[in-house]
Amino acid sequence: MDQLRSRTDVDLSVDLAGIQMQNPLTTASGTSGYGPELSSYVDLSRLGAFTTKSITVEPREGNPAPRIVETRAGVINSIGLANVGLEKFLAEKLPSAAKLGVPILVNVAGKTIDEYLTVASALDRVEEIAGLEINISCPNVAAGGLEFGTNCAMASELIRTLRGAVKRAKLIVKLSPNVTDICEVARAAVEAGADALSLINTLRGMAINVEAKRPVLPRGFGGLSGPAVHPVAVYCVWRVYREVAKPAGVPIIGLGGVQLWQDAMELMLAGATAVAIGTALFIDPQCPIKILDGMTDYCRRHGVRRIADLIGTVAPPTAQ
Amino acid sequence: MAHHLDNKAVHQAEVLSNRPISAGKDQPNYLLELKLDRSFTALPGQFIQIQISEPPLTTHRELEHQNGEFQPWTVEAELDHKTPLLNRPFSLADLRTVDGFTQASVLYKVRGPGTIRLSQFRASDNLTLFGPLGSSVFTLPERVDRVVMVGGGLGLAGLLFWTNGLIEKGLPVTMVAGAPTAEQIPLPKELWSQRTGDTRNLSNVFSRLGPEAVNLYVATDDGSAGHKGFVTEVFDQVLAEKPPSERWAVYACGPWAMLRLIARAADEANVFCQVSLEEMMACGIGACQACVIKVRADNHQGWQYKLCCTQGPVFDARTIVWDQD
Repeated sequence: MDQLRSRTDVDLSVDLAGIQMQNPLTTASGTSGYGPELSSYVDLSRLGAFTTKSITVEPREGNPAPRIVETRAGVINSIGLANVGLEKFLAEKLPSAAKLGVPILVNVAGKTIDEYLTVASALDRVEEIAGLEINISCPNVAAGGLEFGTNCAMASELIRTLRGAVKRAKLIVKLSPNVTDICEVARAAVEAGADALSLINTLRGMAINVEAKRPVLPRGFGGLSGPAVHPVAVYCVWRVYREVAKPAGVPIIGLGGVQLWQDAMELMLAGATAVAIGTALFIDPQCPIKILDGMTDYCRRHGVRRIADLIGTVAPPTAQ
Repeated sequence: MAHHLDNKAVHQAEVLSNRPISAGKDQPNYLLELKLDRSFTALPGQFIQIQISEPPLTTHRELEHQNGEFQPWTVEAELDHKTPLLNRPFSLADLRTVDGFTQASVLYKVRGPGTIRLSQFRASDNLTLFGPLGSSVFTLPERVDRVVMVGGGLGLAGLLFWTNGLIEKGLPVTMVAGAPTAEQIPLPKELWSQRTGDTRNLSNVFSRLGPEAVNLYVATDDGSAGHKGFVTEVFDQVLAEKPPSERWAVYACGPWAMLRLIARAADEANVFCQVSLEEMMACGIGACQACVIKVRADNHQGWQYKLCCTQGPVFDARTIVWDQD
C-alpha cells in the first residue's frame, strides 16, 4: 500500500459522469457478490468503485445447477440473477459495501419496467449509492433482461422512464453484445438520458456434453465471459466510444475478459473511462491490485501524468 | 484443534511431492503433498481452491531455457488466455504439522485440463491456493460406537482427513470404497489387496488405515477387486449387520446417485448420515453463486438453494432434496 501511495507521480483518478473514482477499476456485477465475500482476499477499498450483484424487487433463487461451465479461455454462466431482493439488500448487504469508502454502483434488474422503476427509485433515495447500473443485458432469465437490451424501442422506453424517476444517482446502462449493432442500443440509451454506458455483458454461449448428447447447462445456454470475450469487448467499446459516447460526452465502463493490466489499458485506449473486472476475480481476487500496479507502471513508462488523458487515444486504423 | 472457519486467505504452497499412487494409466489417482505456512489450518470437511491457470515453475524453466534468458512477457503470454482457467476445488485428504510447517495432502484423479495441469507440478514448485473454504464440516454425534465411511471413486479422498482424526480418537471404523476397476481405487494396493497390514512404507495419509484400525470393504464395477457391483450394495450389507444396540454415524462422498441411495438407506435405518457434496463452482467463496444445492426449507416451495462452497460442503443427508430431476 505504501508502495502505491508513493507513486504520486501518476494520477489514476477518473471522473465517471460525476462519480469521482480514485482509479479506473471496479468490479463486474455478479462476480464479487455484495462485497464481504471477497474481503478476506483483497482490500476492496483500493478499487475506484464497487459494483454489486444484480438486485431485483423480490428475492430470486436463481437457476438450477449446474450454473457454470468452463470453456476454452472462458466460462459460461447461467446464475439467473439469484439475489436477496431489494428489501434485504438495503437492510443487510448495503451497509457493509458502503463501509468500503469507494463509490458504490448497484446493478438493477427486472422483468418489467415497473420492477426496474421500483428498485431504481428505492436505491436513488440511498445516499451511499453513487450509481445505478441498469442491467438490460442478462441472458439468463426468461423474462425481461435481454429483451430490453436487444430492442431499441424497449430500451429507450425503460431508460426514459427511469430518467424521470432517478434524481440523484447516476444512470449507467449496461449493454449486451448480443445484437446486430451495439451502437444502435447505445444511442437509444444515451438519447433517453443515460449518464454512462457499461459494456459488454456476457455473450450468449452454449456447451454440449458430447457423450451424453445433452447441453451442459439446464437452460441450454448461458453467458460467456472470461479472456475469450475480451477482443469483442475492445471492439464494442472502440465503436461505441467513437460513434456514440464521445460525441455525446457520455463515459463508458469497459468490461469483458480483463485479466491483465494490458487488457485494462486496451479498453481505456479504446475509449473506456473505467474498467470492470469480472471472471478474473474468481481466479485471483487480488488481480485488481496487480492490474493497478501494471497500469501505473505503464503510465510512467509512457510519461503520462493523468491516466484520464489516455482515454480513447488509440490511433485510427491505417487501412480502410 | 481450534475452530478455523474464519481464517480463509491466499496461501503459497511448496510442492513436496506429486505422484501417482497406483500404476493405472487410465485417469490415474495422484497424491499431492504440500508444505504451507503454519497459519494454514483446516477442519475435516473443508476444502481448498488451487490456482491452476498459472503453469508450474518447471514450465517457466522450460520457457527460460528456450529463450536463453528469463523473459517475464513470455510467462505472461503463457498465462494469458490458456486453459485451464478457473481454480479447482479439492478436499484435503490429510493435514498435519511437521517441523513447524503445515503439510497438506490432496488426493486427485487426472482426468481433465485442470488436473492434467496439476499433475505437472514437481517437487519445489510453488502453487497458490485459497482456503480453508466451506463453513459446514464433518461432526460427530454423541455416543457413537462405530463410524462408516462410504467413498464412491475419488469421493473417498474427501473422507480420509476425517477418518484419520476419528482413528486417533480410537473409534472403530468401517470403510467402503468403490471404483470402476481395482486400479482406480484411491488407496494404495497394500491396504486393499492381501490385507497384509504392512503400512510402514505408506504416506501419512494412508499409514493409519491398516486392518487393526479400519474394517475395509472394496467394490469394483468389473469385479477386479472385492465385491463386483456397487458400493451401495456393500453398504446395505454392512448396515444389515449393525447390532441394534450400537449407535453408528455414516459419512459419504461420491457421485450424486450413490449418495442418494446411501442417504436413503441410512435414513431408513435411522442412522446419522452426513454427505460431502460438490457442484460446479467458480470462486469457492460465495461470490459467483454457481454451486447451488437444493435443500429442504420451511417455505412455500419446500426448498431453497444453499451454496456448496460457503454453506457446505458437508450437509446432513436428510436435509438434501435428493430427487432433482
